[in-house]
Amino acid sequence: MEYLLHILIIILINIILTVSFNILLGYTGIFALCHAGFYGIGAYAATLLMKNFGLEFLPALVCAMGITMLCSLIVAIPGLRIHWDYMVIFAFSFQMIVYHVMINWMELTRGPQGIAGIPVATIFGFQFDSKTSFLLLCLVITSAVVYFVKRIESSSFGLALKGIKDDEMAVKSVGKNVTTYKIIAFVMAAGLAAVAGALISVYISYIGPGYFDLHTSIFILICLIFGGMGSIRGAILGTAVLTALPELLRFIPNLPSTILGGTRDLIYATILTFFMLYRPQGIVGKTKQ
Amino acid sequence: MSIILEAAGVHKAFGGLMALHNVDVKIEERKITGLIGPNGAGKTTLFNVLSGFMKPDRGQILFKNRDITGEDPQKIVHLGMARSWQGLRLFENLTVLENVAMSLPRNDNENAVKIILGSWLKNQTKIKKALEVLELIQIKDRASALVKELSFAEQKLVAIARLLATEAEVLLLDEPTSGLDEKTVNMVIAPLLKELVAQRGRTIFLVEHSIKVVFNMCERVFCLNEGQIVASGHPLDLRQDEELNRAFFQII
Amino acid sequence: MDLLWPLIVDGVCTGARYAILGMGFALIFNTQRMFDISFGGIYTWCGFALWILVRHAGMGMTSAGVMVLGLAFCLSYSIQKIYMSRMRNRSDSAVSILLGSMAVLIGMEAIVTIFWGGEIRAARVGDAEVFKWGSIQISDIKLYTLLFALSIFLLFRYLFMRMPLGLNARAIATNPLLSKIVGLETEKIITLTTCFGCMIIGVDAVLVCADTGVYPAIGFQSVLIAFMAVILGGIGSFAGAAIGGLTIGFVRTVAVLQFPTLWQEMILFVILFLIIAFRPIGIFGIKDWKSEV
Repeated sequence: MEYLLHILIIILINIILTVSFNILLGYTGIFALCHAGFYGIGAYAATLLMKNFGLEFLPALVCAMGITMLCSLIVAIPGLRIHWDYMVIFAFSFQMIVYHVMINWMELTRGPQGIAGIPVATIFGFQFDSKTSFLLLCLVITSAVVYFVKRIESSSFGLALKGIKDDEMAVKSVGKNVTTYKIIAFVMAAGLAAVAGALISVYISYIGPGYFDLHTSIFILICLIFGGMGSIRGAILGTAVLTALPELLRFIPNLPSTILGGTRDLIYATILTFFMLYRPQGIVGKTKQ
Repeated sequence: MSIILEAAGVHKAFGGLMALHNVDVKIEERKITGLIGPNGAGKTTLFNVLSGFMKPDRGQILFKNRDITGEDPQKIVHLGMARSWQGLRLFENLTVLENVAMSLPRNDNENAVKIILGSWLKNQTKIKKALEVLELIQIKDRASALVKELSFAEQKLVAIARLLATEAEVLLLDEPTSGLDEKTVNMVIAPLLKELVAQRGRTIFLVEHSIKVVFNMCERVFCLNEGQIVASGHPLDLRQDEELNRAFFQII
Repeated sequence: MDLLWPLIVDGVCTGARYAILGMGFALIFNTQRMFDISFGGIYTWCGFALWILVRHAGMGMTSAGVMVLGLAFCLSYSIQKIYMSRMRNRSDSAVSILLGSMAVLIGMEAIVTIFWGGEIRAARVGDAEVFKWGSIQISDIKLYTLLFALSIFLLFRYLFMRMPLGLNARAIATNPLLSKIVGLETEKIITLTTCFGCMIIGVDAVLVCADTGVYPAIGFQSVLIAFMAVILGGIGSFAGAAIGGLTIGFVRTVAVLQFPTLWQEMILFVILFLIIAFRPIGIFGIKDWKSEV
């Protein structure tokens, strides 16, 4: 039972990640493969604020969002002028830089050993120290995030983003400031990723660079591709399935970690291979071709 | 009549290629002006420069007596000039209604929060305006169809609808009738453009290859060849000129 | 100065390695004009194949090496034929190729991880031979690396480019649409060129396996290096990729004088980041490439 709660919590946190990444990739068509970087910045920021400055969960969360959003400008602003093809590598190099900072900046991040002993989430004195209570917290926060993204999807802003995905110049020619919209999309996606970061740090009460590397960014991407980019339902479905699926592997006794990791990667690779070839729109998506 | 849009001494080169050379164009308010010339003459480049998508190497663009040279395209749309594209550049994966709705300028009651979080489908003013435009172009019945599912002719109409939706005073149309059958041109496009100018106070500057359309609609024509304006005037007057006749009106 | 020489030699040799990777990827990328990173998976498989052939099948290094290059060609051919070519003609082919090839890369590395785990496997048996000139010493593998890099450069720059395949590849690289109209079988040419590119990359896999050894994730590392070499040296330029690789390899090795080892890898990514932000064309890049919106 505890295990089931754990899986649900992880799924909820991952949903925040995929749904926010969807803003960039699914709606606007920006292939910013650095989402785990934002996730990580949010996590470390929230952690340090809670641990070193004694902030409660919500203030730490908000500050972490702010910090992450500022950092996202480093990618967003140069990213405006870059052609699509390059965005992938560009965002990816940002991701790697963030990862290396996490590993090397010992004074701040304690390097590869990570930061342990993160206090339990506290809101106005109430401590979310049981799995059940934390699950409820996640449920509330994730629902809020999903609702927020849904509103964006159906707004004029969201419509403009979808236009940018199809033809950026055309969007300019109908009077919309593409630069502003892209930056806002970036900043929003990064801010929401930070929310996930804050949640994961108080849940596991430990964070390390390994949680926020390229692997994770690719995982988020695969969830979207599997479930279907550009739709919230798709993102949720993809996340739920791909988070839960590898957990089944744990039931095979005595599997060494490399085989576990390798098998998981192989599953992801196979899914990605098939979907790119046969169903790039994902399970939920409508046929584009 | 006053000049609402003017290009003065515009030069634009790409590498070694001189696309526009000392181009002077004056567009009068509330008239339909044409821009003709063989392929590669620089017509679309001129449109790009006028609408802010390209910056001229030399020269000025004056819109309502204001220097807009080098301004961003979306700012120019706000000032009141918008253009359509030769390649249409519609939002293929969106519906006709969405294409048009996106182009509508901001309402007075739309603040930043509403734009980002408010459902545009529930915005009555927006929907009403969008449907009005579709009605005008006579494709209201295809409002919920995805643009990529439309026929070429329908897409051309959507392109014009989208342009209209910007509510810009000056409309730059890049080959609005190419590829359309005569019936549509005569029954839908031509009357519409005339109405826009006569009844709705718009100004139209259009690139055209069809001589019929030019004669039917334009009160004034600029002839562009190899980046230079070689003649301008009323179509009938230009027709008299033997050389021009040969160079332009036969080729086209 | 005596202390400096080993570093310089090392730097040049690493640079030569990176140049090889750059050239291989340049061949693939310039022709395809899309980010096909499946060569990373092929790299890992080649490295492990050499290790298996030499350490377990008892083959000699040279013959094993040749077989591995053949393997590189065959793997690349299969991947292109079975998978990549099917996605090339779609409207959003760039995304599909990128993600699809990434899937292939991840999958190939995963298979190796499952069977052989994450340890480093080296094919070298016995000690390295060391050649000396005055105070400069260089191990056999490093010398071979230099020789191979130079040979590959000369071979492809001057011979390949004059042969039909090379000319056609060049044509497609410069103007894909026109090439199709003129009747070139773009599919076939792209496939073949990619296979040759993978063979070049396989050379580095062999050299590394014989020297320091390989591990499953090394394929991905090679992708990163190849990318940086091409982007630094210039998109569309074969020689540029070689120079880019040489530079990166050299700088990275010599940087240990100034920067602590830990930050070295990060420097490379910072360089990559800055180049794309400010001069995506690279040093010798061809201008027509879509480097700006």
